[in-house]
Amino acid sequence: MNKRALSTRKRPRWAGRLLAVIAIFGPGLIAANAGNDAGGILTYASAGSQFAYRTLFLMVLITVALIVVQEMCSRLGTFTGEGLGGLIREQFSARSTFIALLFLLVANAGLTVSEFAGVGAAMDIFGVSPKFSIPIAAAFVWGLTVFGSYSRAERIFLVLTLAFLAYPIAAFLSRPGGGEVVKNLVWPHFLATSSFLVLTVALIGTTITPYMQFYVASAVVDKGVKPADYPKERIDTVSGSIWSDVISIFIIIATAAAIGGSGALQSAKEAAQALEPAVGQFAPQLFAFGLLGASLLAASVVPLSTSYAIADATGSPRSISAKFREAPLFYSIFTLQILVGMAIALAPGNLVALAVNAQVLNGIITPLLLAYVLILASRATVLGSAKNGPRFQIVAIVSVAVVGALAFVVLVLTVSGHA
Amino acid sequence: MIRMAGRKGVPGAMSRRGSGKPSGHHSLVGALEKRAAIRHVVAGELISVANLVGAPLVNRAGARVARINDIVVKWEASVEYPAVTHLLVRVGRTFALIGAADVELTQARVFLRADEELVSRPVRRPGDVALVRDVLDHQLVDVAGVQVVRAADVYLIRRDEVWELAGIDVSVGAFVRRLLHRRRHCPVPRRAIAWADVQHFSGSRHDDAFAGGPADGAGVVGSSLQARVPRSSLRRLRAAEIASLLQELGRDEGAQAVSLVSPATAAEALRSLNDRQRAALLAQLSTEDRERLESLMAGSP
Repeated sequence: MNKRALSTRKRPRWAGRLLAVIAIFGPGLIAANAGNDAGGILTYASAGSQFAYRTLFLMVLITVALIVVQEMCSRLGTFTGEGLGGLIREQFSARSTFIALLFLLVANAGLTVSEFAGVGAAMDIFGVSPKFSIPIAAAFVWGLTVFGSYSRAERIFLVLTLAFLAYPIAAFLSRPGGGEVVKNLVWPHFLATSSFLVLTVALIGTTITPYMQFYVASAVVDKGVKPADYPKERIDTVSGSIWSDVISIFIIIATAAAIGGSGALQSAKEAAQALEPAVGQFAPQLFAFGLLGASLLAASVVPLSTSYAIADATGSPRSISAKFREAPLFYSIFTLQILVGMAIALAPGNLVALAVNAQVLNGIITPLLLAYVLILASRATVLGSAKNGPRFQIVAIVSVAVVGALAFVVLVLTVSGHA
Repeated sequence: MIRMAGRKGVPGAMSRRGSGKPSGHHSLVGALEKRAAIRHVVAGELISVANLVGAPLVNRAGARVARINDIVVKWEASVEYPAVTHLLVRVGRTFALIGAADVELTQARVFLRADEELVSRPVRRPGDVALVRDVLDHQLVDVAGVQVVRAADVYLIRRDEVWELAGIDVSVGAFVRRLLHRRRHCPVPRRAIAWADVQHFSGSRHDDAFAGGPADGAGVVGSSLQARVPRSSLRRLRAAEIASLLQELGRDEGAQAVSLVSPATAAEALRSLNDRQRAALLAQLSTEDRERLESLMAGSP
């Protein structure tokens, strides 16, 4: 059979469909997986360490909420052709727009710091000093975005997500109790304690982060996804959210199997060492590899999300396909975040405190920004016939209300000194 | 952006960019004096729409009867600075439309010239451009600067006792100003663009308060390729410039921009976009327009 005959051979129908779906994979998968960043890994590992498998059912509920939120953002980007920043500017008052962008900027700045701290912690396990690894990582992330094209950057991001495979491997090698895991996945085993409540909000804050919402809406616009393609884009968004949380659940299982019930973690390095009894001497390296990939991915996506949102809202050019001089504000905000993130991560300090503060901030900001998303996705003036349907609207309102109530309670507990 | 400079009534009001950096005490005092002078001139001749929205509409007895919700101008191809035709006001939970001739506009409040009952069901007529709904905070094209901008403020200017749409301010400062208290006097524009150099787009979204057909003169998707809109400022641009704008505009706005330029220019601009962007824009057009542009793209190198 010659090459021509091979190339013209009719492809099976299922293969054609699969290729069509794979072809549009990207924004939803990247955005959702960026949730498994340095702070996320620390929080999930801490959940496994502190409460063993008890948070697994909670993660199932959070996954439903994540799918609902990411789907709304992806739909908004696809049907309006605009990012969340621009939509908020058009649909809300100047003050509301400013508040949304300010909170996003502050939350993302905190996250960027924790991403570079994650890079430093991961490379420290390989014996490389954070003083070298953090600046090199910052230069790599900056150069990738400023000098690379979008498609090239996207391919590199997707390759980095393969590092998440390290977690399921670690979870299986740690031989968790199967019956215990399934019981906790399908039925709640919550605790009525303030520390469990605080960790619940931290898990929500690290899983449904505001930058993921802004990023996915802008990325589908940048990629040129059109309404006719939305069914495929929805598959990307939903599967990306599920994939992301499956990885998170594996982190919890792996840590719970190894050191469940031993109390809160103090560092990412400790989480890696905790896996040693289960997977042997290479556990720290395996964990560090995953942490490095996750941190580098999020170190790109988090500052990009802020740049997209602010440039969008101010009407400035915004695209990573553009050159620096064509989109100066976009790249300046991106560069500034990288520099600030790198500088603070290099300063002496506690990575855990940084990461936890970022998750707390995200947990408080998330419901505020979810309210914007919910209102936008409910308006016929914005989405026309693609607005939230009645059943979806109920699920979305319940999700936002529960997240908001939990965040409020934790805020009150924190302010009153009870958390 | 000083293109509003020299408009009748506001000499030098928009000429801040060319003034250079002040140096020393005298320069500082001079700059402050100049700014005060500009403020004085601007105060009576310009109105900031962002500051006017929400202002009270008062009757002859001085009682508030409604609040300003939007300002409507009539778009016409041959008019560079369209006149204000109506004000959309909010009376309780309903809306009413008042003719511009029936009111006296100031920055802080609007006065009814005669006491009349505010009863009407506002309907958007062809060519009506609602400055808050269609222009303020929306994507626009600065044709002279060949860039996509968002209007942080919109300015009206008085000429021969008629208020006209003068231009927009796209500065971040103008946006930040809106976060603060409402001004009683019109703020000085910082980065102004004359309306003659602005291409706006019609809102395609449904609006209960001001229902009706969108402003087709502003560029309804698919209208221009067939109807040959006689004047669109976008027609001054080259295909490469249109292509760069299309990469920044939202989908609706981009499709309208394609409709507002000549088919040959549109085809050339679309050819330089990537496949996904081109397909997304073409999907917004009518079948007839899409086929026409596709044949043009296929027919020339």
